[in-house]
Amino acid sequence: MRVGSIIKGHKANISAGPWSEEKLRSKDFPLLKKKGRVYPVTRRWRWQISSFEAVGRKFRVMASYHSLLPEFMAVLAEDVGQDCRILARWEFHESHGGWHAHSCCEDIDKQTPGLVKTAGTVRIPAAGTYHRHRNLLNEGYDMNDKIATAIAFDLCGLPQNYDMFVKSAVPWF
Amino acid sequence: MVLKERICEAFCEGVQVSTFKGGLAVSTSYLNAAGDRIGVYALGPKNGVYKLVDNALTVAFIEAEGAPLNSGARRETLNAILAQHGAAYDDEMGEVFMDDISEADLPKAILEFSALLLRLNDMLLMTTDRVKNAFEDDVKEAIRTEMDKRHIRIVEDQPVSEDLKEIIPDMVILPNGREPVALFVATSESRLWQAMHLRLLAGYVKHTPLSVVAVLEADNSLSQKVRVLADNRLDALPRYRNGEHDTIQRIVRLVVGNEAASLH
Repeated sequence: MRVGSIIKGHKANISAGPWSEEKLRSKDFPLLKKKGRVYPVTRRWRWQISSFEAVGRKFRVMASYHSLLPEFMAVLAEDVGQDCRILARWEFHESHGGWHAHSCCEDIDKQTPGLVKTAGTVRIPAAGTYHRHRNLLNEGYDMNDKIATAIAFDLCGLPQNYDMFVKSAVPWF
Repeated sequence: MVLKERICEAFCEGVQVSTFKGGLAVSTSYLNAAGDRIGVYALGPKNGVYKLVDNALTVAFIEAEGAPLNSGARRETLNAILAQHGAAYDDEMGEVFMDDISEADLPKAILEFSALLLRLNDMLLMTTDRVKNAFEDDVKEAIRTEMDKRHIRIVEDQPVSEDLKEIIPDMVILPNGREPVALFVATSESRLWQAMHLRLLAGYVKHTPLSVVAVLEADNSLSQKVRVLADNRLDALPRYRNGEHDTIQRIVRLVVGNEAASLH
């Protein structure tokens, strides 16, 4: 099974967690093969962990954005025992503008849990090539919790009811 | 076009500058380990000066990859690199920064900060696995050289004897007329436990004459609890870092005896 099947698949038991700017703890997003046993995010980043089920498995999504800079990331991972298997990371960095993903095209079961970047992970599109969406948000909008959740849910194929404000803020909505 | 201009053009080719509400974003030509371009942000101007920052993930990712920067040697390296570039690290927010930069100094400071981030990315080369390999290689090479000088036979990655084949030391040193010495390069607690197990097995179960020595990289390499146990149970537990020569000599004394060791 590939990441696309999870994104496109039917979802159940969707639960959006609270937003926080506290230090991310291992129980929020464990990565047991990493030092600190947690996904590396610092306190400059606000974050939210949501969870859902699909294809008979459990997944979690981290939506996160920098509190001062136009930087965003959404991370999709599968819960594997006490650990997480990272399946895809979508990111935006104003310094080299352009929405992009880091993911692996292999069968997800072949990817090692507990790592940020598993073997075979590629950046799509490659740095320095054409990016379809070059701005974090449409002009006049600033990132906030509501928009960040909407973007992360959209990227992971989670159904949602977003309002007109969110719809007009996100470049591809 | 003269060569100088072509070089300047090559330097600037991948550089992109964009503005955002809080300041400027600069993309360099260099890629980090994730395949993203290394980026620098100039926040400001506030009261006429700028503050340069990274995206507060550079150090977090280095630490996640297994090079914790709160430990002695790596923290010193981080501090030395930061000092060379006139930058600092905010532990609380996880951000690398350089502040109080005037507009006139900004271009040069951005270049300096980019070089700093590039060097910090290289600290990924100091991750535990890589350091572990370097430490293991250093110890083994030093032992080989020393034993070769003394015409003492060594076997590597083989059991001490058929009786003790469950545990395989990194090296077994076989001096003429003396008991063999099993050597472990202890890069993990489990390896240290194996060394203690072999010592007990040889001494109390199989009654095989054997000395067991484990080499630690530093005093704080493994937990104090296991270290104390190993200190008391093994024949030697030397610390290699900052005492490389003494470590090897300690092993030589164990292998050939104090008297013979002093003859060379």
